[in-house]
Parts: sequence; structure tokens; C-alpha cells
Amino acid sequence: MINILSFFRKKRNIYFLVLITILSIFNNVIINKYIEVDRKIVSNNNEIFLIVDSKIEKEIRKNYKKIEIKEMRKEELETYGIETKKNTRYYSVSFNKISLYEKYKDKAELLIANNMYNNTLNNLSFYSIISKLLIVISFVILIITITTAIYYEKTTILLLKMVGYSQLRILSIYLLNFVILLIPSIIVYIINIIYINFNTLI
Amino acid sequence: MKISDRILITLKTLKHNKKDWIQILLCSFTILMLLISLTAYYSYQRFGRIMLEDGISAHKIRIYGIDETNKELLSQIETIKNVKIVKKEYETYIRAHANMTMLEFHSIPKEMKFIDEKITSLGVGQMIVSDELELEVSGKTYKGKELIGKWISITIDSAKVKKVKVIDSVDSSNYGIGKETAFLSENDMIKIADVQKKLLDEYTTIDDIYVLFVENSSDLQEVFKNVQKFGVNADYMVSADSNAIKTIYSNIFIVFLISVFLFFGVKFLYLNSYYNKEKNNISIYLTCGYSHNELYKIYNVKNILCSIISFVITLILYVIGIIIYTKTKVDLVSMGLKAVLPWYYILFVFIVEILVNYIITKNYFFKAKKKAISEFIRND
Repeated sequence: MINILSFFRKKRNIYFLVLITILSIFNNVIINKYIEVDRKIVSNNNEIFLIVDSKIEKEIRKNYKKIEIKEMRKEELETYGIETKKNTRYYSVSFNKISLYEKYKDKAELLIANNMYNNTLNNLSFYSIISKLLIVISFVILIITITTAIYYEKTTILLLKMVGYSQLRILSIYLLNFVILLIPSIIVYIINIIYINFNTLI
Repeated sequence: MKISDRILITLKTLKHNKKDWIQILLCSFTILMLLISLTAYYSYQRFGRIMLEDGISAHKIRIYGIDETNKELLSQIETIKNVKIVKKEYETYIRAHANMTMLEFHSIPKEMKFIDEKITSLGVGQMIVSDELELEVSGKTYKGKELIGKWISITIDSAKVKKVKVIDSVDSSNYGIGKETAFLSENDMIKIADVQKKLLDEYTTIDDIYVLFVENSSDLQEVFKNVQKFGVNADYMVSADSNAIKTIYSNIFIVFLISVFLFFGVKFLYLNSYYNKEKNNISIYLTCGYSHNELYKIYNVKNILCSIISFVITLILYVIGIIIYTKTKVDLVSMGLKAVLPWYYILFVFIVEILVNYIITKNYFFKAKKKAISEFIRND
């Protein structure tokens, strides 16, 4: 127990603890903002929907159970200029996220949207690229900080070996230390997951 | 000690000290983060301006097929909420030759917010051009700002109409206007239109088009729906959802703020722990006979060198990223998003990087001066 506390008696390890928590908070905020934008844009454009045939309709029903799916009549399809084949039914699907439209856009028969939709989609794809990049970079920084925290302990590990600690004991001590190092960031992630799920319920 | 000696010492320590390289890597990634979020912020600001705020088309709704005699309908449309001005098409937009090249002329209502003051003070016989316009004046071609002060004659079907003087140029991307665009005062526009009326029969076809200006671009869609209720044909040129872009923009701003915070946080926290570890080396230097002042200078040079190296790494990564981005996402680039930051943004980040390093070094050595050397050795 004394050994564990001695790890955090050093100032630099507390700095690392703070750094890792800051990074995880940052990651979570980016993820949250991305999800928020993804939903908000669809709530602004409520006239967007996909026209799909029965094959893809089954696939979507399997993956997303709460999604609205309506069967389309022949007259409706003719107004959108789709030639109806025999024995195939067509459905209109409206998602609650814009990233899902992006996913099924190529598979669908047609995407109906107001004329501003495509530009908005482009905007969002740029935003998603940037947020993904930032998350990747912050993870890289996180890995670098953890490795430096290990690297800085090199001399103390050597000293512990010289004093007569077994390799297993040193390993167990440091594993415990890193668990403590990561605890606040793990708490942040859990809170974020709860927050996201709570928001979707509403 | 000469500067060359100091650089030599720092290079030697850089060769053997892994901590410095870890620091360089970490700093380069944080700078990259800052640059990326700055790029996003910058390009969305630019994009938002083009599509929504300053672009002339973002405030314009065209209405077709209203007779001049039907004044009741016009006055009803004028009373729609958020509508600023209803004008005839030729009072706001016209095409004519200027020095033998076809140009698009715009006039802007005076009370609207979206335009610079320079354009609102446009007088009779004066013209403002876009900065990418190329015109031939007395045998020589001039572009953008070079045109200021030149006299240009406007012609329709080789009949001279007016001579105007160029008084200014505007950033074409800011106003969402094309290359061959110019601004004229309303009186000049009406004069050109009158000549056009006499010369061309086609003119009658554009006579019954009215243009409606909206004060805020975010109200455009609402006004458009209200106009359609009167049963007239109307359209608008905006190609992006203003609310969606605003939400993205505000979110990007938050991300940008966080990355700035992270940049400083990582720098301060990490450099502090770096110096806590570096105490050993400093105490060795001190026992070897270096004075405190000399050491401070050596570490200053070292830090500046480190920040230059990390900045170069960042820039290389950034440029590679931009090349990949511009080649894979052609649609976005053509829409007006610019991935490349202006050089003064990058210079600013570079100066901040060096300043932070300098301040932390100074702070640390100021603290270290208070403590005894023995404490250095005892601590680690």
C-alpha cells in the first residue's frame, strides 16, 4: 500500500493524472458534439427520406428497430420518377441521424430531400472528418503520456529491483498504479455513455 | 558563451536525451490538434459567410409573373414579416458590357446590414469591382485592386451608356459573388436599364421579375414559404441550410476553444513534469561548474530548438493531411471550404508555442534559483 502511494507522491505523476483526465474529457466532448449535430440537422430538415426496395428495407428493419418505414403507393413513386418493377415493393425510410442517410445513400433507389440537403451533408462529412481526426490525435497524445509515465519510472523500477523486490511484485504494483491513473478518465467515459443514452431516451 | 556553443551543447543533449524527443512528439501533436481545429473554425467561418451571411444571394428571393398593374399584390408581399425591400429585377441586377467584357452589375439596398459601409456610400458614376475581375483599360489588363482609379465605359450593343470610375474592390469570396461582378449605384443601374429597354426587345421579358430582400439570411426560408402562399412563382439561390451550418459552426467553436485549452494544459503540465525530471541533469551541470545564468541560456536555446523541430514536424503532417484532403474531397473544396490556413495564423501559433516554452523555462529557473542545489539532488 505504501508503494502505491509513493507513486503519487511524485508531482509529475499527478500531472500525468490530470493530463489524462483532461484528454478524456476532451474526447468525450467531441464525441458528444458530433452526435448532437448529427441529430439536430435531421430535426431541422424533416423532409428527407430514402426510397428503398424490400431487400434493403429488411436489412434496415433488422439493424434499427425504431426507424419509421412506410410502404409507398404507385402514384407516389411515379411523381418521383421511379419505374416500378413487378413483384417489388418500395418503402420510404426516414432516419433520425444524418450519418445513417450517408450509410444507405448508395444502396437506396432515390434520396428525396430539399435542395439544400446535399450541401449540408458535405458540411457534416467535413465536420465528421475533423472530429475523427481530433479524437485520433488525442488518443495518440494519451498513449504518449502513458508511455512517458512508464519511461520516467525507469530509475525507480531499477532501484526496487536492487532492493530485492521480485519482478511479479513490481508488475503488480505498477498495474495497480496505472489503474488508479486511469480511474478518473474511466469515470468520465461512463458518465458520458450514460448521458448519451439518457438523451436518446428523451 | 557564444550562441553557436549553446546550440552545440543542446544538439548533444538532444542526441542522448529521450525525454526531449518525447516532449517534441507530444508538443507537435498538440500543435497539430490546434491547427486542425483552427482550420475547421476558419473554413466554417468562411463557408458560413459565403453561404449565409454576406452572400448577396442569401438575402434574395426572386418573384416571377407579377404585372405592374397588380399593385395590391405587391403591397401585400411588402408587408410580409422580415421583408426589407421589394424592387424590380433590373434595379438590383443587370448584365452589360464594360470595356468589351460582359459583366454582372449589382446594386445593394442601402439600409441592409450584410454589406460593408464602402458599398453603401457608393455615389453616382462610381463603381466597385470584385478583386478577381480582370479588365482591359487602354490596351493593358488590370486585375482587382489595380483597377482602382481607372475610368471604365459601360456599353450595350456597342452603344455607349455611361463612364464610371472604379473606387474600390471587395473580396469576392466574402460576398459570394462571381469573378465578373461589379457594384453600381441604383441611379446608374436604372440609366443602363433604360438604354437596354430602348435597344433590346428581350428586355420586356425581365420586366415583370421582382426581387425581394430579406434582412436576416436565416429568415429566408420562412419568407419564401410566406411568399408562395400568395400563389406566385418564386425561387432563391441559397444552397445550404442556415440552421444546420449554425449548429455545426457553434460546435466547432467549442471544439476550437477546448483544443486551445488542451494546448496550454498539455504544455504547462508536461513541461513542469519534464523539468521535475530534468533536475538531475541540471544538478550535474551545476556541479560541473556551469553558472546558473549560463544554464538558463542553454535551456532557453534548447527549448526554442525543440519548439522549432516540433513545429516543423507538425507542418509536415498538416501539409500531407491537406494534400490528401483536397484530393479526396473535391466537392467540399469546390464549395468554398479552404483547408489551408492563412500564413499569419500559423505564424501566430508558432509564436505562442515559443513564448509558452520561454515563459515556463524562465518560471522554472526563477523557482530553482530560490532552492539550494542540495535540494535538487535530494528530490529525485
